[in-house]
Amino acid sequence: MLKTKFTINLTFLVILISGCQREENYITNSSIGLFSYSSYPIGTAIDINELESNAIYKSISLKEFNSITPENIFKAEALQPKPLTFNWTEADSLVSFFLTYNKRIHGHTLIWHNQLPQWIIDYQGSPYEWEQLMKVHIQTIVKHFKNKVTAWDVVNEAFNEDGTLRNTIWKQKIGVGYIEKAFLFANEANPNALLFYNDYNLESNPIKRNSVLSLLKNLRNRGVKVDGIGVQMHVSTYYPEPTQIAIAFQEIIADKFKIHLSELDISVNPLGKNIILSESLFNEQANLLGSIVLNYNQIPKQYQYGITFWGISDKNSWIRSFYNREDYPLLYDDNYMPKPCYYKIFKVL
Amino acid sequence: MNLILLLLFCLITQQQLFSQVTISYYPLQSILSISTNTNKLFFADFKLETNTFISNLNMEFSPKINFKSLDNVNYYTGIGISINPVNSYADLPITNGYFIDFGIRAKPFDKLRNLQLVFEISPYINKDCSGGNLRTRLGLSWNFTNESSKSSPPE
Repeated sequence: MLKTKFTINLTFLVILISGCQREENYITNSSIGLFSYSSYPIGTAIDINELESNAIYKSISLKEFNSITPENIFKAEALQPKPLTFNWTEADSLVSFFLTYNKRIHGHTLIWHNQLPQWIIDYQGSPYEWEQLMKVHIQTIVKHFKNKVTAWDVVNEAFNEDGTLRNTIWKQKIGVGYIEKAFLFANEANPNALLFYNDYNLESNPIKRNSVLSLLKNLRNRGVKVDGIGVQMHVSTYYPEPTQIAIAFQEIIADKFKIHLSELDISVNPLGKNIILSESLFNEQANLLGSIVLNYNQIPKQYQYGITFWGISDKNSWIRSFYNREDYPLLYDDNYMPKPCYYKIFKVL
Repeated sequence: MNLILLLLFCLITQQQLFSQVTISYYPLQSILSISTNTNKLFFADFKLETNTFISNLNMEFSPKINFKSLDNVNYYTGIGISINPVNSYADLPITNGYFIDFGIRAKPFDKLRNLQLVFEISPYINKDCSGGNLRTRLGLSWNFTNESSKSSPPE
């Protein structure tokens, strides 16, 4: 008797839940870009060479996105190729082009251990001289782009996966305090700019995430301005699970940091196998993107800095060349045709 | 209308529910679990992820079997499905993935045998079988049934 009652009640509950299904009323309007559907900025990383040579690339970047991150030309080797000789040509060109269209510019990145010019790698100096080198580099760039660049990735990828500080050239020469000093220098140069720490695997590695949060909270307690965290989100259909990503978001906003999904791409072939392209593979990618955006939507507005994809077309993705593998991690295919993940993001925004 | 039906459902089931359920909470994972009598040879388990975004309200359903029952501890296993009903609102798959639970349910106090300490190892694989993880859980449980004696072990 009891079992029968339970079965009836369970059926009742299932009917209730299924009755709550949303009606499908979404129609994609291809004339309106992604960012128009979003309450927070939707961005992309821009390769200056593609921008100057590829009309489709340029057109998509203007139509779909309202936040722009220069992929490489803000890095030290591009901006300060020789001591105290700054090369602004490409960076100024990119910034002025996108500002004409009222796009937000996100500065990436001031202090990183890669893509350094050879003269910095070879530089011989005391810790004080290294600190001055870092100060001049940061402040010259931040002041140059004052009122043009909204926010900066001040320090990039300073932590190892085990939560320890990476032994970068900056740490070796200046000491563990280089992160704090970098944020102080950036804030001195432009107190109105938002300042971010940027790193990968923060969405999937709680040990690394806890270390980053611990350091940044400590900086804040010492009066250093740190506005947010760039969670790079180079994820794959294999890993991590959406629930792990949700936990990461919750932990970061609990500490009152803005979240920038700063380099989002979703690998479909993280193990570098020979893969067969199929509809289900790209649907899997689209579903993960949908879950990520759905969770990002739940973040309180004041912590939503925006979502930035790390490129436009699979053809331009860094993954293929860096890992030397076949992969399709972005919103557009090699022919700049939208993929299922592009349409999925419309539905969840 | 749905709200009225839901209230009716709650009223009807309230009495019988508390006479036969075990409620557990896994604080480290923020999971609330409702099971049928965990002292029986077979029992059903429902888990709900809490303290999370509405979009991440994952649920798990799993039938379980106590494959070894001693006086103060039960060893059990079960397979199950993880779902997220909220996904249906965003045209995303409701099914998250599948898992196998291996658990120990200890009754550490002879005078308080309804109180149980639960530890589970739960390998999980996503619905596309392209990824997964090894989950562990530690929780406290209260068995609301009057019957708190050990269950009959399988022959």
